Amino acid sequence: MNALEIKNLTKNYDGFKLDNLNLTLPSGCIMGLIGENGAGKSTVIKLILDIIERDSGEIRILGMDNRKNIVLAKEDVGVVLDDIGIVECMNARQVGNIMKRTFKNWDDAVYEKYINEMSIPMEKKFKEYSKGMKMKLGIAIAMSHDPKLLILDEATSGLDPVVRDEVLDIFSEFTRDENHSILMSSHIVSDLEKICDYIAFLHNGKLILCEEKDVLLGEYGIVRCNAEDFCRIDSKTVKGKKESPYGIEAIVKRQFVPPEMNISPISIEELFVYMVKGEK
Amino acid sequence: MSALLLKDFYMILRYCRAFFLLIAVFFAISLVQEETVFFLIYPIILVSMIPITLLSYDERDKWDKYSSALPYTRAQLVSSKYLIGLFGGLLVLLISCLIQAVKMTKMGIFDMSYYMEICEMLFDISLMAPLLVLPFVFKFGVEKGRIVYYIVILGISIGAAALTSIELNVKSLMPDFSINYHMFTAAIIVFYIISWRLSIVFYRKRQL
Repeated sequence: MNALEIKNLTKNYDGFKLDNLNLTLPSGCIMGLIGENGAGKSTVIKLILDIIERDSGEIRILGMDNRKNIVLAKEDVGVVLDDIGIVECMNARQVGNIMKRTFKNWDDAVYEKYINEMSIPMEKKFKEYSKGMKMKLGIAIAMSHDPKLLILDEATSGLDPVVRDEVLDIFSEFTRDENHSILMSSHIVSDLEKICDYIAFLHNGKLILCEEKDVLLGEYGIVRCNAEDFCRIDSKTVKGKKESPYGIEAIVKRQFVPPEMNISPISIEELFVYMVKGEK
Repeated sequence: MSALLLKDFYMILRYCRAFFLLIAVFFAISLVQEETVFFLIYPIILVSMIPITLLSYDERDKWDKYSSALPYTRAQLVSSKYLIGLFGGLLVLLISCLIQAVKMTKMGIFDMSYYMEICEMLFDISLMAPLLVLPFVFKFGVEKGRIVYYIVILGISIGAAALTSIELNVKSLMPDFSINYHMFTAAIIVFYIISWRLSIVFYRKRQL
């Protein structure tokens, strides 16, 4: 079963359109949703959670229609939003008491385990937490009701590298169960590159690429050459390029590049930046 | 629903302490100032505004978005605020009515029908503010909702002033005041239920 299926999803705002999005997240996988500010990442997440109304399309969460069964579906979904959304006057114990009455599968022991593992103070008010601590509490809540799917909107932004690493380890551990999946949006592409199985690029409300990470890294590479050599590459295989007085750097599909040309490995971040710039 | 009520209860304990202090002061004054019911009306108005205060904190802390991502329905999110308003309002109303009974007994003017009329008026007042404000707040958010509410109140005031200026004889339209007073209470209850339903409809359509 797929954890998430999005078909022909469209949402119009003044000056922005999420255009005919199709996306599938298989169970047991982590998908990274990459895009610059305003690309539509948060809109997609809000549409999945039915926080905003779609204009057209279909969304299925864990096999359930997200409009007909949204409350049922949310029982199996853990969510961390970039603003987190916990009321500032509360402490972790009070939040736990509320969530115990919110989720049918809430497990106090698991919650306390995460609270202890992440060194979250139980009695301190949420407003007195650091940004990293706030995010950790959001993650502890999202994972303490035996979710099958985690939806994370910029859950690692604002965290220092050490905390980010801890959090990414928790997510990797979560997906060791093949019924567990994660959809994760982030600006920090290196985080996504570290843990994701699938990468989806959003740009101006359009999905410009959605593929397995390893396929992307195997399929694309960087060619550094002069203008003359660059002319030998079929323009259809070039996904983006940067010209400077020293030559040309281009993202290319490896299989269509003349074999004598030297192709360097590419990172997901480079691929994304070049593709977006190429579009511009 | 119990989760939402518990969350609001925690917030009331934290954010509404000043409300309770004021209410206690007004109750104390009302026991001394025996001639007027004003000091009993004010606590009721104050407590009826608690749901709006809570919604304003919810918006500030982005709980409105987060709660929409949790397994609550929009109807539950709206209803919790109406229920908190009702519980708080009825509690303060009960204390107000008790104080009024004590006052009237002390003054030797206790009359059951007059007493019931006062209680009924206090009950109507307890429902009035949430009835008028909450649908606007759920449609437009707390800040815009408040502005729309003030505009509506202004419109009602201008309308009332216009009616007065044409010297409409209201009493001639109300031959039996007590019967119409009960009708007014019944109307308030009906409008309260409509307001509740309307808030749910508005909030379901709200894009957070």
